[in-house]
Amino acid sequence: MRLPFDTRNVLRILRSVLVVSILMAVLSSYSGSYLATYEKKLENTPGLAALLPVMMAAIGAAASAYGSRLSTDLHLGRPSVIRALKDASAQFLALIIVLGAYAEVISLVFASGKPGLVVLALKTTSCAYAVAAGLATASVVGAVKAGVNPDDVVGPLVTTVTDAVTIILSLLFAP
Amino acid sequence: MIREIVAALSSLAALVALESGTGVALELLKHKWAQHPELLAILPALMDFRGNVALAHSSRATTAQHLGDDRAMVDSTVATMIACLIVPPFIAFAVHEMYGGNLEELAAVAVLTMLAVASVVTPFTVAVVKASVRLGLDPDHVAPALTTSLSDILTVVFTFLIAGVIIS
Repeated sequence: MRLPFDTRNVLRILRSVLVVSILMAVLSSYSGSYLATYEKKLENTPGLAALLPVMMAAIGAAASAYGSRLSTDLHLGRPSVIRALKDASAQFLALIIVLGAYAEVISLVFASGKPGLVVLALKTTSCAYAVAAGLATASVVGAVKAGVNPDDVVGPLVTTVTDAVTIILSLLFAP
Repeated sequence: MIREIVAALSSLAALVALESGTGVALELLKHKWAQHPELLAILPALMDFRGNVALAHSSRATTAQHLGDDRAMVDSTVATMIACLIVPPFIAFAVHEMYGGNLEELAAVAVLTMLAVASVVTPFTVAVVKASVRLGLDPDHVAPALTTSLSDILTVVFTFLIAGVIIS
Protein backbone atom coordinates (compact mmCIF):
# COMPACT_ATOMS: atom_id res chain seq x y z
CA MET A 1 0.00 0.00 0.00
CA ARG A 2 1.44 3.37 -1.00
CA LEU A 3 1.25 6.38 1.30
CA PRO A 4 -1.67 8.72 0.54
CA PHE A 5 0.37 11.95 0.20
CA ASP A 6 0.24 14.32 -2.75
CA THR A 7 3.93 14.72 -3.54
CA ARG A 8 3.21 17.59 -5.99
CA ASN A 9 2.03 21.18 -5.40
CA VAL A 10 4.49 23.94 -4.48
CA LEU A 11 2.20 25.52 -1.87
CA ARG A 12 1.61 22.22 -0.06
CA ILE A 13 5.34 21.53 0.04
CA LEU A 14 6.05 25.10 1.25
CA ARG A 15 3.44 24.83 4.01
CA SER A 16 5.08 21.79 5.56
CA VAL A 17 8.68 22.89 4.83
CA LEU A 18 8.27 26.42 6.21
CA VAL A 19 6.67 25.41 9.49
CA VAL A 20 9.31 22.76 10.17
CA SER A 21 12.20 24.94 8.93
CA ILE A 22 11.32 27.99 11.01
CA LEU A 23 10.80 25.87 14.13
CA MET A 24 14.09 24.05 13.58
CA ALA A 25 15.95 27.30 12.79
CA VAL A 26 14.84 28.80 16.09
CA LEU A 27 15.76 25.57 17.92
CA SER A 28 19.17 25.46 16.27
CA SER A 29 19.84 29.00 17.53
CA TYR A 30 19.94 27.40 20.99
CA SER A 31 22.68 25.05 19.73
CA GLY A 32 24.58 28.14 18.64
CA SER A 33 23.97 29.63 22.06
CA TYR A 34 25.47 26.56 23.74
CA LEU A 35 28.40 26.64 21.34
CA ALA A 36 28.97 30.33 22.08
CA THR A 37 28.86 29.63 25.82
CA TYR A 38 31.72 27.14 25.44
CA GLU A 39 33.57 29.15 22.79
CA LYS A 40 36.75 29.16 24.90
CA LYS A 41 36.72 25.34 25.21
CA LEU A 42 36.29 25.08 21.46
CA GLU A 43 39.08 27.58 20.90
CA ASN A 44 41.45 25.93 23.37
CA THR A 45 41.00 22.30 22.20
CA PRO A 46 43.13 21.91 19.05
CA GLY A 47 41.23 20.21 16.24
CA LEU A 48 37.81 20.30 17.88
CA ALA A 49 36.55 23.08 15.60
CA ALA A 50 37.69 21.07 12.58
CA LEU A 51 36.06 17.90 13.92
CA LEU A 52 32.72 19.27 15.11
CA PRO A 53 31.04 20.35 11.83
CA VAL A 54 32.15 17.13 10.13
CA MET A 55 30.72 14.97 12.92
CA MET A 56 27.48 16.98 12.90
CA ALA A 57 27.12 16.64 9.14
CA ALA A 58 28.10 12.96 8.92
CA ILE A 59 25.93 11.74 11.80
CA GLY A 60 22.97 13.78 10.56
CA ALA A 61 23.45 12.55 7.00
CA ALA A 62 23.77 8.89 8.06
CA ALA A 63 20.63 9.00 10.19
CA SER A 64 18.78 10.96 7.49
CA ALA A 65 19.83 8.49 4.80
CA TYR A 66 18.43 5.71 6.98
CA GLY A 67 15.23 7.73 7.53
CA SER A 68 14.96 8.51 3.82
CA ARG A 69 15.21 4.80 2.96
CA LEU A 70 12.57 3.99 5.54
CA SER A 71 10.33 6.71 4.09
CA THR A 72 10.84 5.47 0.53
CA ASP A 73 10.01 1.90 1.62
CA LEU A 74 6.77 3.16 3.16
CA HIS A 75 5.94 5.19 0.01
CA LEU A 76 6.49 2.05 -2.06
CA GLY A 77 4.39 -0.04 0.32
CA ARG A 78 7.18 -2.44 1.34
CA PRO A 79 8.11 -1.68 4.99
CA SER A 80 10.46 -4.24 6.58
CA VAL A 81 11.94 -4.30 10.08
CA ILE A 82 14.88 -6.46 8.92
CA ARG A 83 15.72 -4.07 6.10
CA ALA A 84 15.47 -1.10 8.48
CA LEU A 85 17.85 -2.75 10.98
CA LYS A 86 20.30 -3.59 8.19
CA ASP A 87 20.20 -0.01 6.88
CA ALA A 88 20.70 1.48 10.35
CA SER A 89 23.59 -0.90 11.12
CA ALA A 90 25.28 -0.29 7.76
CA GLN A 91 25.15 3.48 8.29
CA PHE A 92 26.57 3.11 11.83
CA LEU A 93 29.50 0.92 10.75
CA ALA A 94 30.34 3.27 7.88
CA LEU A 95 30.08 6.25 10.22
CA ILE A 96 32.48 4.80 12.81
CA ILE A 97 35.05 3.88 10.17
CA VAL A 98 34.95 7.23 8.34
CA LEU A 99 34.81 9.52 11.38
CA GLY A 100 37.46 7.51 13.23
CA ALA A 101 39.81 7.91 10.29
CA TYR A 102 39.01 11.61 9.93
CA ALA A 103 39.59 12.24 13.65
CA GLU A 104 42.96 10.50 13.37
CA VAL A 105 43.99 12.80 10.51
CA ILE A 106 42.78 15.92 12.33
CA SER A 107 44.58 14.78 15.46
CA LEU A 108 47.83 14.43 13.52
CA VAL A 109 47.44 17.82 11.82
CA PHE A 110 46.16 19.97 14.69
CA ALA A 111 46.80 18.07 17.94
CA SER A 112 50.24 16.46 17.46
CA GLY A 113 48.69 12.99 17.19
CA LYS A 114 47.22 12.88 20.70
CA PRO A 115 44.63 10.04 20.87
CA GLY A 116 42.09 12.10 22.81
CA LEU A 117 40.44 13.50 19.70
CA VAL A 118 39.82 10.02 18.20
CA VAL A 119 38.31 8.73 21.45
CA LEU A 120 36.16 11.85 21.68
CA ALA A 121 34.96 11.36 18.07
CA LEU A 122 34.08 7.67 18.58
CA LYS A 123 32.25 8.26 21.87
CA THR A 124 30.32 11.23 20.50
CA THR A 125 29.47 9.45 17.24
CA SER A 126 28.18 6.28 18.94
CA CYS A 127 25.96 8.15 21.39
CA ALA A 128 24.69 10.77 18.93
CA TYR A 129 23.92 8.21 16.19
CA ALA A 130 21.95 6.05 18.63
CA VAL A 131 19.78 9.08 19.40
CA ALA A 132 19.56 10.12 15.72
CA ALA A 133 18.58 6.69 14.37
CA GLY A 134 15.97 6.23 17.08
CA LEU A 135 14.57 9.66 16.31
CA ALA A 136 14.56 8.95 12.55
CA THR A 137 12.50 5.79 13.10
CA ALA A 138 10.11 7.51 15.48
CA SER A 139 9.66 10.54 13.23
CA VAL A 140 8.92 8.47 10.10
CA VAL A 141 6.33 6.40 11.96
CA GLY A 142 4.98 9.47 13.78
CA ALA A 143 4.72 11.51 10.56
CA VAL A 144 2.77 8.77 8.80
CA LYS A 145 0.41 8.41 11.77
CA ALA A 146 -0.05 12.22 11.87
CA GLY A 147 -0.88 12.31 8.15
CA VAL A 148 2.29 14.27 7.23
CA ASN A 149 4.67 13.27 4.44
CA PRO A 150 7.75 11.89 6.29
CA ASP A 151 10.01 13.24 3.51
CA ASP A 152 9.23 16.78 4.74
CA VAL A 153 9.81 16.06 8.42
CA VAL A 154 12.49 13.45 9.00
CA GLY A 155 15.53 15.29 7.58
CA PRO A 156 14.98 18.62 9.38
CA LEU A 157 14.08 17.02 12.69
CA VAL A 158 16.90 14.49 12.68
CA THR A 159 19.64 16.92 11.60
CA THR A 160 18.60 19.65 14.05
CA VAL A 161 18.47 17.32 17.04
CA THR A 162 21.65 15.56 15.89
CA ASP A 163 23.48 18.88 15.65
CA ALA A 164 22.43 19.84 19.18
CA VAL A 165 23.27 16.40 20.64
CA THR A 166 26.64 16.30 18.85
CA ILE A 167 27.60 19.80 20.04
CA ILE A 168 26.62 19.06 23.63
CA LEU A 169 28.26 15.61 23.78
CA SER A 170 31.50 16.65 22.11
CA LEU A 171 31.89 19.64 24.44
CA LEU A 172 31.08 17.41 27.43
CA PHE A 173 33.60 14.75 26.35
CA ALA A 174 36.26 17.34 25.46
CA PRO A 175 39.01 17.65 28.10
CA MET B 1 24.49 -5.99 4.00
CA ILE B 2 27.99 -5.60 2.51
CA ARG B 3 26.51 -3.66 -0.40
CA GLU B 4 24.71 -1.29 2.02
CA ILE B 5 27.91 -0.73 4.02
CA VAL B 6 29.93 -0.03 0.87
CA ALA B 7 27.28 2.40 -0.40
CA ALA B 8 27.13 4.20 2.95
CA LEU B 9 30.93 4.22 3.23
CA SER B 10 31.41 5.78 -0.17
CA SER B 11 28.85 8.55 0.36
CA LEU B 12 30.03 9.29 3.93
CA ALA B 13 33.67 9.31 2.85
CA ALA B 14 32.79 11.82 0.13
CA LEU B 15 30.86 13.87 2.68
CA VAL B 16 33.74 13.89 5.17
CA ALA B 17 36.20 14.80 2.42
CA LEU B 18 33.98 17.72 1.42
CA GLU B 19 33.07 18.70 5.00
CA SER B 20 36.70 18.69 6.07
CA GLY B 21 36.96 21.97 4.15
CA THR B 22 34.25 23.39 6.42
CA GLY B 23 35.98 22.09 9.54
CA VAL B 24 39.43 23.33 8.59
CA ALA B 25 38.00 26.73 7.58
CA LEU B 26 36.30 27.02 10.97
CA GLU B 27 39.47 25.94 12.79
CA LEU B 28 41.42 28.62 10.95
CA LEU B 29 38.75 31.29 11.46
CA LYS B 30 38.75 30.97 15.25
CA HIS B 31 40.05 34.48 15.75
CA LYS B 32 37.30 36.04 13.63
CA TRP B 33 34.69 34.61 16.04
CA ALA B 34 36.14 36.70 18.81
CA GLN B 35 35.69 39.86 16.73
CA HIS B 36 32.21 38.96 15.44
CA PRO B 37 30.50 36.58 17.89
CA GLU B 38 27.21 37.05 16.05
CA LEU B 39 28.71 35.13 13.11
CA LEU B 40 29.45 32.15 15.36
CA ALA B 41 25.92 32.46 16.68
CA ILE B 42 24.20 32.63 13.28
CA LEU B 43 26.35 30.03 11.52
CA PRO B 44 24.87 26.87 13.12
CA ALA B 45 21.34 28.12 12.44
CA LEU B 46 22.11 28.95 8.79
CA MET B 47 23.91 25.64 8.27
CA ASP B 48 21.10 23.77 9.97
CA PHE B 49 18.38 25.48 7.92
CA ARG B 50 20.21 25.07 4.64
CA GLY B 51 20.96 21.43 5.48
CA ASN B 52 17.34 20.82 6.45
CA VAL B 53 16.02 22.30 3.22
CA ALA B 54 18.59 20.39 1.18
CA LEU B 55 17.71 17.13 2.93
CA ALA B 56 13.96 17.59 2.54
CA HIS B 57 14.45 18.46 -1.13
CA SER B 58 16.79 15.50 -1.57
CA SER B 59 14.34 13.14 0.13
CA ARG B 60 11.40 14.39 -1.98
CA ALA B 61 13.51 14.23 -5.15
CA THR B 62 14.55 10.62 -4.52
CA THR B 63 10.96 9.64 -3.76
CA ALA B 64 9.84 11.41 -6.98
CA GLN B 65 12.56 9.57 -8.88
CA HIS B 66 11.46 6.21 -7.42
CA LEU B 67 7.83 7.04 -8.33
CA GLY B 68 8.84 8.31 -11.80
CA ASP B 69 7.17 11.69 -11.14
CA ASP B 70 9.22 14.53 -12.71
CA ARG B 71 6.53 17.14 -11.97
CA ALA B 72 6.90 16.45 -8.23
CA MET B 73 10.65 17.02 -8.54
CA VAL B 74 10.15 20.40 -10.26
CA ASP B 75 7.60 21.51 -7.64
CA SER B 76 10.01 20.52 -4.86
CA THR B 77 12.80 22.56 -6.49
CA VAL B 78 10.62 25.69 -6.76
CA ALA B 79 9.38 25.31 -3.16
CA THR B 80 12.96 24.95 -1.92
CA MET B 81 14.07 28.19 -3.61
CA ILE B 82 11.09 30.11 -2.17
CA ALA B 83 11.78 28.73 1.34
CA CYS B 84 15.33 30.09 1.11
CA LEU B 85 13.90 33.58 0.62
CA ILE B 86 11.36 33.43 3.45
CA VAL B 87 13.14 31.75 6.40
CA PRO B 88 16.52 33.60 6.74
CA PRO B 89 14.99 36.80 8.22
CA PHE B 90 13.48 34.65 11.03
CA ILE B 91 16.95 33.23 11.73
CA ALA B 92 18.47 36.71 11.84
CA PHE B 93 15.74 37.85 14.21
CA ALA B 94 16.24 34.84 16.54
CA VAL B 95 20.00 35.41 16.65
CA HIS B 96 19.53 39.16 17.17
CA GLU B 97 17.22 38.46 20.12
CA MET B 98 19.71 36.03 21.71
CA TYR B 99 23.08 37.62 20.96
CA GLY B 100 22.42 41.16 19.81
CA GLY B 101 24.24 42.59 16.81
CA ASN B 102 22.77 44.71 14.05
CA LEU B 103 19.49 43.16 12.89
CA GLU B 104 19.59 44.68 9.40
CA GLU B 105 23.15 43.48 8.83
CA LEU B 106 22.39 40.00 10.15
CA ALA B 107 19.24 39.76 7.99
CA ALA B 108 21.14 40.90 4.89
CA VAL B 109 23.92 38.35 5.54
CA ALA B 110 21.38 35.57 6.16
CA VAL B 111 19.22 36.26 3.09
CA LEU B 112 22.11 36.81 0.65
CA THR B 113 23.99 33.76 1.93
CA MET B 114 20.99 31.47 1.64
CA LEU B 115 20.10 32.75 -1.83
CA ALA B 116 23.64 32.23 -3.04
CA VAL B 117 23.84 28.72 -1.59
CA ALA B 118 20.37 27.69 -2.82
CA SER B 119 21.11 28.80 -6.36
CA VAL B 120 23.96 26.27 -6.45
CA VAL B 121 22.73 23.40 -4.27
CA THR B 122 19.10 23.06 -5.39
CA PRO B 123 19.82 22.20 -9.04
CA PHE B 124 22.85 20.18 -7.86
CA THR B 125 20.53 17.94 -5.81
CA VAL B 126 18.37 17.10 -8.81
CA ALA B 127 21.50 16.38 -10.86
CA VAL B 128 22.85 14.04 -8.15
CA VAL B 129 19.58 12.10 -7.95
CA LYS B 130 19.43 11.68 -11.74
CA ALA B 131 23.13 10.80 -11.98
CA SER B 132 22.86 8.24 -9.14
CA VAL B 133 20.12 6.37 -10.97
CA ARG B 134 22.10 6.39 -14.21
CA LEU B 135 25.13 4.99 -12.35
CA GLY B 136 23.02 2.24 -10.76
CA LEU B 137 23.32 3.70 -7.23
CA ASP B 138 20.45 4.23 -4.80
CA PRO B 139 19.97 8.05 -4.63
CA ASP B 140 18.72 7.67 -1.03
CA HIS B 141 22.27 6.69 -0.07
CA VAL B 142 24.10 9.22 -2.22
CA ALA B 143 22.10 12.45 -2.41
CA PRO B 144 21.68 13.38 1.30
CA ALA B 145 25.41 13.24 2.07
CA LEU B 146 26.52 15.13 -1.02
CA THR B 147 23.89 17.86 -0.90
CA THR B 148 24.25 18.60 2.82
CA SER B 149 28.04 18.69 2.67
CA LEU B 150 28.02 21.09 -0.28
CA SER B 151 25.44 23.22 1.56
CA ASP B 152 27.63 23.42 4.68
CA ILE B 153 30.80 24.37 2.86
CA LEU B 154 29.08 27.02 0.76
CA THR B 155 27.22 28.38 3.79
CA VAL B 156 30.45 28.90 5.76
CA VAL B 157 32.28 30.41 2.78
CA PHE B 158 29.44 32.72 1.69
CA THR B 159 28.61 33.77 5.27
CA PHE B 160 32.14 35.03 5.92
CA LEU B 161 32.51 36.51 2.43
CA ILE B 162 29.20 38.38 2.55
CA ALA B 163 29.65 39.39 6.21
CA GLY B 164 33.07 40.76 5.32
CA VAL B 165 31.39 43.15 2.90
CA ILE B 166 28.27 44.01 4.92
CA ILE B 167 29.33 44.05 8.59
CA SER B 168 31.42 47.09 9.43
